[in-house]
Amino acid sequence: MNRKKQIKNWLGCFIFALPALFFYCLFLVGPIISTVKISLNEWNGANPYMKWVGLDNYIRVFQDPIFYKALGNNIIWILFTIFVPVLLGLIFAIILSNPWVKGKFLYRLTYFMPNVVSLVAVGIVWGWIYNPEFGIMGKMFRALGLDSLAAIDYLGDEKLVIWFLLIAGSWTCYGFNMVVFLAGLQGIDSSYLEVARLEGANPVQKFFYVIVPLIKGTIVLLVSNSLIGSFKVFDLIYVMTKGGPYHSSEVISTYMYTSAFTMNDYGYGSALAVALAVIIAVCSGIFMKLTDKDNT
Amino acid sequence: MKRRRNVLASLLMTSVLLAGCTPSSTSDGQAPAGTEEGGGGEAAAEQTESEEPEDSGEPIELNFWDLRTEGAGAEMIDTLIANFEEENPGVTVKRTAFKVDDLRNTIKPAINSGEGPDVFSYDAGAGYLGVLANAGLALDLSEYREEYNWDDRFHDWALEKTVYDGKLYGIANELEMLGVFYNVEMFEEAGVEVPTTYEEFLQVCQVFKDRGVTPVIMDDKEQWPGFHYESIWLNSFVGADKVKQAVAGEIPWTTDGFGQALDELAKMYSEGYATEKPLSVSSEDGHKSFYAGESPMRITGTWNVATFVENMDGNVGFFYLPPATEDVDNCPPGGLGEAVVVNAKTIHEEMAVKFVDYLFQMDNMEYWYEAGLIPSVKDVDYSTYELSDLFKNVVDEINRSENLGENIDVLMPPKVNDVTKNYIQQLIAGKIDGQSCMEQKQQAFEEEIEAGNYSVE
Repeated sequence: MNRKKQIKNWLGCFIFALPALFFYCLFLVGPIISTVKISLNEWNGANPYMKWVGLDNYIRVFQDPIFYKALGNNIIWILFTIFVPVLLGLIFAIILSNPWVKGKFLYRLTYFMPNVVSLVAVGIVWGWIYNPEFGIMGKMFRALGLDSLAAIDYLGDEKLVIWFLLIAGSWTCYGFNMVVFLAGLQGIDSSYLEVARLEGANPVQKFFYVIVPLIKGTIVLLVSNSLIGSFKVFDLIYVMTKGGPYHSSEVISTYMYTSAFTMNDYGYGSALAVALAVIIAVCSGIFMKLTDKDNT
Repeated sequence: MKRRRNVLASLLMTSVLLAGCTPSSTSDGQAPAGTEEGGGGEAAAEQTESEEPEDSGEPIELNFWDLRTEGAGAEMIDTLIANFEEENPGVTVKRTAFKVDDLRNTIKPAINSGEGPDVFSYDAGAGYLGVLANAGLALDLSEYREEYNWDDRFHDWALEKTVYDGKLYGIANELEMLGVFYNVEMFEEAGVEVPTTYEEFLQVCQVFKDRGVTPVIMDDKEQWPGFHYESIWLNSFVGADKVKQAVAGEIPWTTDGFGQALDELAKMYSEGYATEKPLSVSSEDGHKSFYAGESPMRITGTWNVATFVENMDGNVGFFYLPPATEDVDNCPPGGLGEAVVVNAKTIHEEMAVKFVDYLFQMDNMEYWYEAGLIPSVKDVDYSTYELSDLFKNVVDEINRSENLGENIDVLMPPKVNDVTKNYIQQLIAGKIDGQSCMEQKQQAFEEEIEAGNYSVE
């Protein structure tokens, strides 16, 4: 009887979960399996039949210098976006959480605004800012008498392009970090800060020994968010440089797109996608393990 | 634990069903023996025949996907569709306009899934239409070529560009030539004439450089303009015949003269004759600089004629880059912008082809020309059309050209183009020389031939 009830209960749950499960499979699990399947084949996206090549596409991935270039750029992107926008968000949040700041709402709105703008629009606007002929960046440096900085080819220099893309990328996400940090800071019981003050802690000590430990969860959340987001970065780079000049701003997602949709090499593009997914999973796993260990 | 297993099993079952949506795989990429589909055009053709409903008088809706999202071209297509519907009661044409990349990414899965358009515009090259033709996704139009007498109507060389494996798969709907637009007033002010030799061209560049003006706008941020520069300089330095031989695989791209031609292209930048920071200037920005009179010359294609005339109040002329030596004929690079193709799986084959034919009937040429577009129809009498002088000149040049040079990228498979766009940027940046570029091209070309993605006679 008990078992029957259990089955009935299970079936009820399953029926309720079924619509969500169906869409989950349709839009997530199914494509993942298809991607893995395609990655084991050679296919130009048009032929009705694919040619089975086993692990050849994966071997190609690990022998491809452009893949390593793209991976390197992804790592630069991660390191930069983990530190700069998160740090900027934290600094702005701390400033705005002070009672003496007037017009907080306006500041919050202004800083958060870039986060709601489509990355494609952001890419177009930053493309104008960096434009060598009419871009405001060059004009600003020239007006300040910094001709050597004005002469830089911001999006055309193979060594510098990724850094200028990173500035544009950071601009879009520090506002979000700030809002989350603000929420975290508002959750801190003021008695902790009061006790620290009574104990004679200076503002720096209060920050490192009271505030940071209490918002550690928020920091972990934002860093892991940046980590995953950095691997997935695509729109901004594709709009601004398409991975160029000559692959110097290529990241794995732009290379994957080019391989599959421009070069008609869907098998190789899918292998890159799987490799990217595995790298994200491993990095996220390591990061979570480290932070879990630290918490216990 | 057991519950988790059950959920997992359900997930897997659904996923496996979904995975079935991708094509099946075989060891050689061919259709398995005994299956009905042959993995090529014949299979699709058979399917079409079996599904084709004969004229039953029932309403027909044709789906047409094209690339004209705005402007005079879009209006022209809408007008032609309205006229076609009027002449064919019971037939409606539903048009959807795409951006180039969106159409390229959508067309293959759409046709494969049976949801594709009946008629669509697509790049005519081997890496695009050629792929669809080999996969059996584009309809073989050879029998209609005779039925509609297309050989009498279209330029032979234009029809040949959409022939794969001896079969016609599309009709070229836009002829494009590559050359140099120039600002007439700036030329007059500087006291220079349109150059007739390459040496004169460099002299004109030097005159403007001495006046503190960048002589030629040659941007390459988007990477595709670099394809055009390569085609123009190769045609000008080694000649159209040799380029054609290289395209056909008869001589290697590393043949003497090819690398040197690209070195000359690189000199345009190193000598200060072309855009200063070309890798971060977009094509649109290049156009704007040209309209604003910031530079006297702009290298691009004839698809811009109408826009340039409109934006520069007619203060614009056009010439082809002159040949570098007397041994080389003046055969400017040209090609097909795109072709109109019929879906091999359409259930309205006859009507779809009739629609394609209608688009290019002589009576409709006025609409095309006045929209600033040049279909591959020959012997068009445009004397009564309202056209700018520049447009007339371009049309005359095209009609006079019996031997056009090759616009190389439209003929090359995508991987060769990918290599090309990157080495051109390296060349412009002064990182490599012309010969290294040609070695890279030759290697990618050989790999694509070996992989069966490009065929040579």
